[in-house]
Amino acid sequence: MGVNLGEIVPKKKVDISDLKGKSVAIDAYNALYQFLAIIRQRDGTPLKNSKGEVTSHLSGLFYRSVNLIEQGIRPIYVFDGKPPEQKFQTIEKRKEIKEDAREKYIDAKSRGDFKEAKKYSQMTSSLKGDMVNSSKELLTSMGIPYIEAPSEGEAQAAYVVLKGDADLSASQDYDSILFGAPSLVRNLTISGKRKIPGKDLFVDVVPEIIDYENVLNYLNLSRNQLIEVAILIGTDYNPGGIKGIGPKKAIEIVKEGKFGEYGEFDQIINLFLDPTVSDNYTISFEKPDKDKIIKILCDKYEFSELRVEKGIERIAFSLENTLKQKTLDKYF
Amino acid sequence: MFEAVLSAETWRKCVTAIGSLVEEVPLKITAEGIELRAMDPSHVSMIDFKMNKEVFAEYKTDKEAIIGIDIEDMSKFINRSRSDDILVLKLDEEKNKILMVLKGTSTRRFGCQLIDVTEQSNLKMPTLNTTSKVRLSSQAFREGLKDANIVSDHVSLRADDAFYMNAEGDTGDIEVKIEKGDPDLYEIIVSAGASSTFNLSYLTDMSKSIPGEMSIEIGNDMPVKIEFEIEGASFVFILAPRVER
Repeated sequence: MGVNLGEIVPKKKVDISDLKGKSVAIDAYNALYQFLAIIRQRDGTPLKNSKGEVTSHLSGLFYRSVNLIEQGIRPIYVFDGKPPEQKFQTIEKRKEIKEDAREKYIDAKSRGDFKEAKKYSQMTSSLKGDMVNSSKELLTSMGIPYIEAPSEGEAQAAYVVLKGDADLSASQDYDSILFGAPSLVRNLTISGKRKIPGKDLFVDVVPEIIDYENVLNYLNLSRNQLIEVAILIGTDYNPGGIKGIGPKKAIEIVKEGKFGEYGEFDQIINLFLDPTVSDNYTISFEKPDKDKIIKILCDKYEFSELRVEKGIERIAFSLENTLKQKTLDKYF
Repeated sequence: MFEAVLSAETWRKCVTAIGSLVEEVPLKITAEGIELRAMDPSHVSMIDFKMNKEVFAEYKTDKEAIIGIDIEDMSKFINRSRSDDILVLKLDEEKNKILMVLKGTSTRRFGCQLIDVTEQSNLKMPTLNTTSKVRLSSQAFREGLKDANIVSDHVSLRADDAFYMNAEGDTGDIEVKIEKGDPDLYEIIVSAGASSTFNLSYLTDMSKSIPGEMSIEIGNDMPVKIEFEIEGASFVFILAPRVER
């Protein structure tokens, strides 16, 4: 979800190796949802252990983080806190979509139509409290820092970058730009070959960077104006936006100074300009605790011990080599 | 128009030294000579290289230019030179190439395709708060790195009453001490004790192409600055430290 700015903002495709040495504040909920949606069996059932507990999110979190660390990237996960009231409408809407998809999924599966079943099952992903807790537990055991946002994870991630504690923020949603994140990277946690939902087509998903200054320059808008454009198109705080207004029309309206004619949105503007964020966090990478990781992933969730051990070795090696290396950037 | 003549061997040594740190570089051609400054893509190390026109046998240019060079490509060409070849460097603006003409028992011409390096062309030098400077033989430094490599993949460079190289690993620890009076130490100036830790493979790569004498400037948890010359061309290498535990 999030605001649909995709077609109007300039993006720069990058190679994952270009991000070497960077620390990235990752919107954790966003990443976990991606894992839940993508990491599934052929018929669309998520990965589960023998007790029926879903493990897709842990698989994604573990192996993706191992990959990132191996590439010399420092992941810092930022978890959502309490959503602002204005978001409840969006949250309700999401629930409805999921309910609807769940019915269609069950129907397709009973008909033996795996393709349809997978398509709908991916839309039913829901992140339950125990999944969030097990994710945090896994991160701690891996020595990877996470931050608890007081409210929106994306806003906190942007704040962490603005403070200079991380180099980039990562999310699929464009909202980060509205929160003022200087540099947003998309597709970080899902890069690689990806199947297009509902089609037999595969695409190469590569990370892309959206540079805040560049967006404003390109569109010739101020940050406030960009927020106004987003509100006209629709954000999580006013889903759907103003009926019949797309990105191009929205920019026109805002540039002509006619935003005010479409209603009073001060509260929403303020959620973007002055979001609830916190200074109460520490970022430090620790040695992975092998026994604890194995206890969580292998003993509890029945992952292959051999593969997990390899992953742990890879992080331990990279931590010693790549992550312990400073860059020259701060000496200029 | 740019045309310069020098010994192929000198150019080969310089290109090798540059290539130990960076692959794609903006080479600046001015009336005074050539220079380049670049960071490696991970921003861990950087190089500042200058070769004044006096180093060349002949040097002609009619305007300033910045050309992008893929050092790896250029190395492949120049590594084909023989030690007493004379090298003529020429810029072919039309074909967007730098020509390397090797004159020896035959005349061989290599055209090296230029690349786009606009992103890197305005790099400043970092400000480093170093407190000690040591001049020593590059051979002694390389030997110290090899010693350190026995137990670890990183090394601490330390200056105090002497210059020290320390490494610690699971299998043991190593200390190399080079002090006043040792034939390998030419000068040591310490305004305050300094110690920083560095990745060994970077330092080893950097040290490989340093002939004779080198100077090392260190501080506390600061990048190290290494200076040396190759046949009249001046080099500065800078390497960021590791995160101290």
